[in-house]
Amino acid sequence: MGYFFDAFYFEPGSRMTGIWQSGSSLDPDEDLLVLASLVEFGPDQHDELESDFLGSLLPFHFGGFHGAGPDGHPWALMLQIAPASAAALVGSDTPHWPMLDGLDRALHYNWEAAVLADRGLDYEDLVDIYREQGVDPAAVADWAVPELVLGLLAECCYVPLLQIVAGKVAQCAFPDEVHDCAHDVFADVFTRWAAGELRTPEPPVVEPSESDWDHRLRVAKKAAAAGLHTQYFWRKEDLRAMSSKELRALALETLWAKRKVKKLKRKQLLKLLSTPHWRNQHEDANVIVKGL
Amino acid sequence: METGIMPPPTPWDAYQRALFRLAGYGGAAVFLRSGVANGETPQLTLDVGLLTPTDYVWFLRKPMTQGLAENLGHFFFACASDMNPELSVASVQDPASGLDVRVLSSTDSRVELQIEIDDGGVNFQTSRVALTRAADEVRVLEAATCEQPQPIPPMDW
Repeated sequence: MGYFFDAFYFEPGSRMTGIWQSGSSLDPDEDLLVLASLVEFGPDQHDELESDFLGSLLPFHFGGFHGAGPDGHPWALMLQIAPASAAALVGSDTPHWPMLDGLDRALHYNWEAAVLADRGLDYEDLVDIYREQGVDPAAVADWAVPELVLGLLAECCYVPLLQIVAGKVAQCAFPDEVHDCAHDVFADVFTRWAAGELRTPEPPVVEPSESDWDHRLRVAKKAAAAGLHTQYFWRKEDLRAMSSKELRALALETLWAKRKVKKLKRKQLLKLLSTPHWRNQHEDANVIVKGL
Repeated sequence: METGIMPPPTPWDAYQRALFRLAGYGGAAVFLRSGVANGETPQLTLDVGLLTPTDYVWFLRKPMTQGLAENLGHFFFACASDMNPELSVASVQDPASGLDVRVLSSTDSRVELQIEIDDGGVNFQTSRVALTRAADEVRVLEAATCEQPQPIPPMDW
């Protein structure tokens, strides 16, 4: 569906509501680095406004997309591109430091926003992403870093990378469809997405059956004796068989605090989900107790 | 001397410093921060911060007229809800602080505001969504003595 959708955790039911690119004036022949950061805004803040505000204050701003979670909580994925040599100017050993620092400074002007996760990429990483999607690296050999990132942004509009790469040569993203062609593969994709013409069908909602639910439940001996049951008490073996994404969904399903769940690593998720809580023993646990 | 009786809090003790933010497109924003300063009598004061991508200026400890927060709340709500606020909404002027907030233009989704104080000023477009929220939030400037004060945001900038 899109590299960024897989690389970052988006709550099930999240929707992208806007996508933009601000371009880059950097020399494409220079060694360039990319930083993608998932930022969560305040619960009632306007995602379009706040992402524009934040992007305008980033020194290496390139583009991104914004949206809202199933509960309306706004977020944005901010993309920055900077020369690899920039970090040396301030004597930093971390090549992505100028972009991290720029984001940190910009966030001071919106104290309700917070970075949930970020990921640094270089040219080789980007080519690998294309390769994994079935694109021959030779086909993007002449693409600069900004173009590779634009391709990943365009992919988030539900257009496969293979189609984008083919469209770059043909200067049209949709040669088989009647559309107002911009003669630029990226502009074509973004224009049609903004017009609401690129949508995937709604994924089917699979509700776990009652038997599935019971199978996952465990009851502590003391709690069972007292007739108490919790809704988040699973066997470690069952939890280990689940992906990290499924674990997070499970934790959210059981009413753990969203902000906390997003920051938890797999190991922490396994521990918390398999630990018995039949009272509010944990500060963030919202326990649903049956039998009280 | 009486003992065991706590003296009533002074305004300085009772006030919780409050900070309001209205962001705009293009990296512009206005920050308003209320407080109390001691003069001959304790006085409500206002700090005004104007931000653009190239400038960040604060105008500190301006005396503030009581009721300004409510006036701003009404102003923001009218800006968000009126079809043509540039024609129908009167500007908010506070003679004590010198703050002047007015509407310059609007579209279906955006409103352009101009904020001036002393010799500083900024104008930017913001969204009607943000203005609706601001209409409620700006009241914190004069509602900071509530029993459960809001946490103070980091002020290290």
